[in-house]
Amino acid sequence: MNPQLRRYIADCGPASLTFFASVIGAMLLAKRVEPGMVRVLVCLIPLPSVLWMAWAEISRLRRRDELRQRIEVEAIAIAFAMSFVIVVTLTFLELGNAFSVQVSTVSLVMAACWVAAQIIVRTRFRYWCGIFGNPSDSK
Amino acid sequence: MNNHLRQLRADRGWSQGDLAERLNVSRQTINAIETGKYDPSLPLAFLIAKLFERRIEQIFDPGS
Repeated sequence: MNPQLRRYIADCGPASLTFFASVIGAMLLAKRVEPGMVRVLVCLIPLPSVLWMAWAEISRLRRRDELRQRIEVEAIAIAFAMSFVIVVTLTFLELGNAFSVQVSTVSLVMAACWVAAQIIVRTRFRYWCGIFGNPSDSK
Repeated sequence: MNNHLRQLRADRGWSQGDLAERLNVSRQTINAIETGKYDPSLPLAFLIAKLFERRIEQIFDPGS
């Protein structure tokens, strides 16, 4: 197995697996629970694993090469600006009853903006080494 | 910022990967520094200077 993939799995695998398991578990459980506070709590079951995933990603970023850190920070800043503009635009369109937007759309917009920002920043620095980096791509 | 990193590296017969390994950074970082797309942090600049036994200003030139 690619050493970078192995390291990525070691760093973020447990948190990601817990997240997907808790999402599936919460979805299945929520259907069997009556609407109310208990269902709300069931729907929030994945939240700790989301925090764990965020912590795992941030820890991983701190161990990375300084250029890669700069790329990630710039990509996040650009992605935030892009997604903010799009989400605010969608919100105003919804307020004007132009159309209805689901909350889950925001997640997709954020993900798409992050991918676009990664492409923009990596192109500027010519930093293309696969999804998981290359063998010397960490401190 | 201009620099003489490519020349210094070539003088020692090192590849970008070799230098990256010695400095504990990625090969892409070395390439970005050599092509002027990225200015290294101060700690990395000191590491580079130490590795090549030069002063920082002998390797990096702020230019005009």
